[in-house]
Amino acid sequence: MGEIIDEQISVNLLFNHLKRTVAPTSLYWRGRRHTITNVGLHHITQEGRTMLHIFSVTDGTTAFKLELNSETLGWKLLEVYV
Amino acid sequence: MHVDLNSCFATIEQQANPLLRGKPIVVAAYTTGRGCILAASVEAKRLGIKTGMRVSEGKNLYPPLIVLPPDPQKYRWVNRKLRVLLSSYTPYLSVESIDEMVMDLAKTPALERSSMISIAYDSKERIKKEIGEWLMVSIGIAPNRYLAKVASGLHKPDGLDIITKENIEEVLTGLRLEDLCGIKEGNAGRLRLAGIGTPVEFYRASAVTLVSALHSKTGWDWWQRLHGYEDGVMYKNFNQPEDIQKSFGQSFALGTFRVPSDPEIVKIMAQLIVKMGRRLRAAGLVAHGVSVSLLFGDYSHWVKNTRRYEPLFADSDFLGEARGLLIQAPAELVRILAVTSFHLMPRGTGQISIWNTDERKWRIIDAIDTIADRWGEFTVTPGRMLGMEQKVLDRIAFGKVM
Repeated sequence: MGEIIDEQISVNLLFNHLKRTVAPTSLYWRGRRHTITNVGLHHITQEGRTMLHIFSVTDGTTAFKLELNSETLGWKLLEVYV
Repeated sequence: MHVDLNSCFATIEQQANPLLRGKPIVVAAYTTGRGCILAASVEAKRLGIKTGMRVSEGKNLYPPLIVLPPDPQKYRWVNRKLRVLLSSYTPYLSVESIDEMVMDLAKTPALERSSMISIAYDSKERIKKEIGEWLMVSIGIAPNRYLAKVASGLHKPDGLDIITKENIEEVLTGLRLEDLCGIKEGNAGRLRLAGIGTPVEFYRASAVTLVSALHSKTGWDWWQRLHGYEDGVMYKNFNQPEDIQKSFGQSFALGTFRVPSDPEIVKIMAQLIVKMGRRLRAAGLVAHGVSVSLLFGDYSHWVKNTRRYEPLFADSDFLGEARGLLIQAPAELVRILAVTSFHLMPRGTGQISIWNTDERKWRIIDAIDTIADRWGEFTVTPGRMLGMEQKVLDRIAFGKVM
């Protein structure tokens, strides 16, 4: 089972206009940079009127569940699974 | 064509987290030993772990089993994506549950351009490409929906089977009566008493024999089902409007069993009522009755209801009535708590009381609902919910998507 983190973090996001894809490429958490190698699933949820983009990603050894708030454009690390 | 997403919740979790792929995992209502397994991955199923088992039973079979809590929003998202993808083949799509959909392809341009088998292979490939490479579906093709469902269950995972008039006996050979969806011990017993012991004999029996064996018209329905006709009973017609909702209810399985007088029970009930009230009011309805039902630790059941002439719509009204019912419950340990509102009427209809005080209450309730629409559920909550130890989790009801 994953560990609930719920912390604001920094994330790099890449929009590829040729492939029409949007995906986080790396994240910075607790002083470490993690390069994202795989986006397993991107799904959308809502909290009231605010749309939240949830990215389930991995750097090859750790899985992260990231949340992009479409209103504030802020990122949160929701869960970590090692 | 029946499309079944294999090991739905577990496979979606493996899709989301590639580190779980190829490993035996289960999604359980609770991750503790007593939690019920809702879905087992293909790898876990190979070890004998099945849906409905307790987590402890699964762990006995395979101690390093990975147990995950359910994430309904993730599953609903995949269901929505699958619905959009399959809708590109036909407008006649029926969503049977979170992991099952049925397509009627007759007289569609997709079928004129290609065949059912090509569409099946194409949809399998597109699901992997457009939704997730780890997702697998079993597809069944048949003249009616029932046989299509039977076909989809023949080879899991990733199966593709066709049932026709020509091969149906061959397909049914080797199955037991109870392997057929809709036949359990009761019906199987009645059929065996009438000398029908296998699905092939069931198929060969005349409609008259089946009516006599099952002691009702259901015998005729079964004859139609097995011979490729739509019986109009087991499934709705395509694009048929949803049935009118007769009640709104919420239930919750308690992680720790508690007696009805435990203050935590009232807090949980308050949360259930907030969820139920939101759904009721969003549908533009009010209720004239409320019931509380409890399932105790020994699986005995208790239910009590009350009816009111005045409409019930505010969470505080429901909570007041439900608490009045709850105090009458026997002092036994509660396993599952459920609250239901019934006798529904559209808002604004019915006799208005001369001492009407509802207008002011409606203004407050509408304001609270508007806040929840904007900022999310439980932004404003009853004070009763403060300091709750246990949160009522989002769940997908059996056979439903929401």
